Amino acid sequence: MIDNYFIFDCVVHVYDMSDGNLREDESTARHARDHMSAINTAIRVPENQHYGIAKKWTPEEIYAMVFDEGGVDMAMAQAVPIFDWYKDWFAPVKAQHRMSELYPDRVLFVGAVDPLFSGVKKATENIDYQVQEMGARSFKFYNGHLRGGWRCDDPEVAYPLYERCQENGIDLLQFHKGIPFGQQNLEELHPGDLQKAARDFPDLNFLVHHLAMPYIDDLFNIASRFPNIYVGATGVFNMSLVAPRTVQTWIGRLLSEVGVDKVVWGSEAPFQGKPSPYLRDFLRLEVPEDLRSDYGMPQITDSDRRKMLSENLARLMHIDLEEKKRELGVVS
Amino acid sequence: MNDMDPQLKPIDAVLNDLNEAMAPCAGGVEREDLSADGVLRLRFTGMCTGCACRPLTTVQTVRPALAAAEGVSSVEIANSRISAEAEERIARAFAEDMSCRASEEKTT
Repeated sequence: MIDNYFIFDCVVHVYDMSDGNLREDESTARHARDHMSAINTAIRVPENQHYGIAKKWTPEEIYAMVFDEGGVDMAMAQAVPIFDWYKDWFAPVKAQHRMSELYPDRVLFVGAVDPLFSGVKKATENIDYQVQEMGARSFKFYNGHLRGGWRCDDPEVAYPLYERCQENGIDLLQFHKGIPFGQQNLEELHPGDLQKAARDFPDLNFLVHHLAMPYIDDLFNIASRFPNIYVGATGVFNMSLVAPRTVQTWIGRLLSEVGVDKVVWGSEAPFQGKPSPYLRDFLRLEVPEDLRSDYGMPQITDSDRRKMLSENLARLMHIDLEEKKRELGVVS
Repeated sequence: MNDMDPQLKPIDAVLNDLNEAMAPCAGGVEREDLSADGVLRLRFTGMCTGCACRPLTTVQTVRPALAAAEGVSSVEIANSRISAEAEERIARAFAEDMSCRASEEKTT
C-alpha cells in the first residue's frame, strides 16, 4: 500500500531484453531493443536510474522491485508476444507464469498468443493450455508486427482467439496499442480495429494499454462510446517527472471524456523502475485551476484515485478487494 | 433501493420526460442509484454516451429537471463530469440568456 491506497498493478513484465534473447536472423533486433530501452529509461526518476534495462529479469527481482520496494499489493504479470526481435518473445509466457506460481497470493498470470507466430489453430490450442494448465486469467495481444500485423477485428484471424478465450471463461482481453517499437508501422497499432470487435463481442471487455499513444484522442473517443472498451493508463502516468502538465491534462480528459470507471492504472515495471515514486507523484497530482476553468476538466478526487489504482481492475477481474485485503493482511 | 420503491416514482416520471425530449438525438439518461442521503446518480445512454454536449445537457436540462424532485439532494452523472468552474459558467450563461429572453418577450 501507499498512503493507505491498495495498489493493484495492471501490468508488470518479467521480460528478457538481454543480448542472448535477440534474434540473430533479424538485423533490426538490436535497434528495436535499444529503442525500447531508451524510451523507457528516458523518463526514469533519479532514484530508479540504477536499475538495469537490457537484461533478463527473474521473478524474484520483479517481486522485490514491485512489492517489497514498489508499494504495490497485487499485480498482473503479462506475457507479450513480440517475436519480431526476440527469440523467446519480449516477455515470455513461461516467465510470467513462473512469477504467478511463486507468488499466487499477489500475482495473476496474463497469457499471450499470436496468430501470425503459430497460426490461428495453434494459437487457440495455446489459449486452452495457458488457461487450463497454467491458470491464465486474461490475455495480452500485440497485433503490430515488423513485416505486417493482423487486425483485431479480423473474423478469420482474431475472432477465433476471442471465442476460445470466452469458452475458457476469460472475459478481459488486453491490447498493446500505440507506441510502436523499432520501425514497426504505427498505424497497425491504432485502436480503431477494436470497435467492431467490441460490438461483435459485447460480453468481452477490451482494455487498451498506454492510452494508445499517440492515438490518445481516438482512444478517448472510442472508450467514451463503447461500454466494453477500457483505458489502460499503463506506464504513462510515469511521465509526471518529465511532463507533469501532460499527465494532468490526460487525467482531466479521462475524468471528463471517458469516465473514471473505465480507467485502469499500471506501472509497466521494471521498465521505469520501482512504481513507488510514480505512485506518490500520482497521489499528489491535481488538475490545476486553469485546466478546470478553461477546459472544464474536473478535479481528481480520492475516489477517482482508488478506482484507477485498484477498484476498477478488481471489478474487471471479478476479485473481491476487501476479501483480498483480509487475505493479505492489509489494513486500510 | 429497488425499482419498486415509491420514492423513485416521481424521479422516474421526470426521467421518462427527459428521455422523450432526448429521443430525437437517439440519446437518453437512466437511473443508476439513489443514495440514502438523496444523491441521485444517473448515466447517459444511447448516442449521449461519448457526446461532447453532455456537460451542456447536464447543466441546462437534466439537473434543473430533477432538482425539484422529492428526495433528491443532488444529481451526479456517472459518465459526464466537468469542473465546478465550467458548470457555474454554463449555468450563468443560460440564466443570463433566459433573463434576456424574458425581457425581450415583455417588450414585444
